[in-house]
Amino acid sequence: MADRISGFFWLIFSVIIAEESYRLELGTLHSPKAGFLPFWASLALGVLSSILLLSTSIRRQKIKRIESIEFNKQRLHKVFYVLISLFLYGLLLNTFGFLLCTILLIFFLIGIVETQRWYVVIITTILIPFISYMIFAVWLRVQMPRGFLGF
Amino acid sequence: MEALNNIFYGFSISFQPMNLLFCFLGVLAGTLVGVLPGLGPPAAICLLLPLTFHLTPVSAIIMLSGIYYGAMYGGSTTSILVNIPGETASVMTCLDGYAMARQGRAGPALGISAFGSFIAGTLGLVGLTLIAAPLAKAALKFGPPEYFSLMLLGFSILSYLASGSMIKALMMAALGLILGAIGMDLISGKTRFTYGIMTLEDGIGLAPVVMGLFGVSEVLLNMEISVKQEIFKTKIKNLFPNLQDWKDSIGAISRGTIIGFFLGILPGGGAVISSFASYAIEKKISKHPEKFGKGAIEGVAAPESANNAATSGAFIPMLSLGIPSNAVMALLLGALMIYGLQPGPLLIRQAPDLFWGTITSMYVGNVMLLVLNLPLIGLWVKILKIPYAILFPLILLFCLIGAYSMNNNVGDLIIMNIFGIIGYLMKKFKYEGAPLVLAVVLGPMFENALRQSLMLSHGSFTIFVTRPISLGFMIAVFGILISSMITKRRPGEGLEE
Repeated sequence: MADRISGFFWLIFSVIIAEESYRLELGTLHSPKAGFLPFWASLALGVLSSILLLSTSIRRQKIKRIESIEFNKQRLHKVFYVLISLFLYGLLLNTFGFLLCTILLIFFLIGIVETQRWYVVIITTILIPFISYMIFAVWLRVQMPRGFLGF
Repeated sequence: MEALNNIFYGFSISFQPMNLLFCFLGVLAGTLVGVLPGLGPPAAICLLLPLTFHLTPVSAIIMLSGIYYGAMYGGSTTSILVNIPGETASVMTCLDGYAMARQGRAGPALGISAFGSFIAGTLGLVGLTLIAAPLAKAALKFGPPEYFSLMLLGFSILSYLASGSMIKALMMAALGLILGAIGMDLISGKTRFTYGIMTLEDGIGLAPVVMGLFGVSEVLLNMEISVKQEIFKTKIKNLFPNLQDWKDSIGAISRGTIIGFFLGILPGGGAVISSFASYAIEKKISKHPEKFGKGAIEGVAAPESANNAATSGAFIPMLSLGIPSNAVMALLLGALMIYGLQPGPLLIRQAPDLFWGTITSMYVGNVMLLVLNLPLIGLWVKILKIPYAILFPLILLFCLIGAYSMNNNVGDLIIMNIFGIIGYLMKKFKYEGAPLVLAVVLGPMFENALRQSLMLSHGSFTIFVTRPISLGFMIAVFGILISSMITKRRPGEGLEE
């Protein structure tokens, strides 16, 4: 099942890329253009995903066992929380600045996603952002965004 | 005589106090990222790269290299004591290392891992010292067809040695080539697959791809499975393996060194594949294969030697040919360019201090690592006691800072997160990340070599088989493809399970 889903996905993806590459111009063998390599790479991806789909069908007929993808439904929400927090961090970094964004991220991850004891949450929420700010922004002079608060 | 002169010259560079200091910092940071599961050398290199802008190129490359080979030492500690690989290259060490720890033999396991790493790392460096310079000379004869065939060989080897499906590995290589094409086409100046997104115009950065695929995705997987980070409670004693341990391991160390070194040289080979291959071979030739997985010391010695020898080997194509054989080498190559140096056959003439200074610093770094990893093992064990609930936000934060600091661009954070999701799904659907990363790394060079070769030959593919060096590589590619069709089981297949 897993291979059928992924094989089908890559097959469609390869068709889209092949079409886009064709639009970019393939050129000729004497003078290959911008679409040349992506076109042939997408073609290879398409052929390989077709082989995967075919071999999965043959295997299914032979062993009659469905190979499924395993997700832990009880903890899947944590994966989503982490992902949402990472995307929000990226989107808000320039506006809020490194320090404030990092404080919010660490508080969310340790206090809400992992529900640690309150004193652990407070200590880590203060220490991790400030130490990382001192190391990266002050010592290593990485230009981290300052945001509306100025730090 | 010339080689000896070069080595003395190299040591005169690497023994300069500043270079010694940065070598120490590099191996220390490397051991730390090796010990911490989920944070690999690419992330550490991205994090520390901004610091190197204030250093001389020699000190910078010495430190960044130290992170790479230092991580191989550190990775084994976590594998042996926690049964979680600190580094992907230490996955195989978990099997017998943890079993040895459970039998009260954590000391000899850690000891043989450190000594094996030291022996293999040092022997690998001898190989690097002897091969890098002559290869750089020979590489002056390399043209686009030779580079193309060599890279094709790299893709074939990586797919052949993949622990999962070879078809899936090849699919990921093809996907990597497509992703590598994103951005401006260097020959025509046309932008490809950018859809008006400014961040994509310079192409997809390697740092966000690697940290997303290996760092973020690993955290996401661990969030789902609730990591029980239980350090095996045992007194670590007898770090020096006894005579019987040495007798059992010395063959494994020798074979691991040879396998690791030669696989490390090839683009796509690297530390992970070589540790898998050496474990598989060791098990195959052993008189007691049933002992593997139950605490066989050879099962620790072989992969640990192989991954360290591979790190030395990996420097050869990067320093001599300008071809990065893995993501870390690609980052080092990028760093060289930032310092205004052109990696490739001419590097040895343009910057002999960097070339020989970096190589000899690794001898010094290996000695430092032996000291760091044996008497100071207690310190690393303490770090392992940090609960995962505290550790994973740190790993994510380091990935975020590392991805951002390369270009000071929040777009890279979004790319990293997207690749985090892709990496998570790839692991669920059993696709490997290594071929994809190698193709992203080599993609632009691969494309240029292909297009230039075709232009040179007026559109004829025979150019790849009429030039002797290219023909040699092509025969090897053909051999690998034929071998994969006729053999029932490839060397690395199924090992990850």
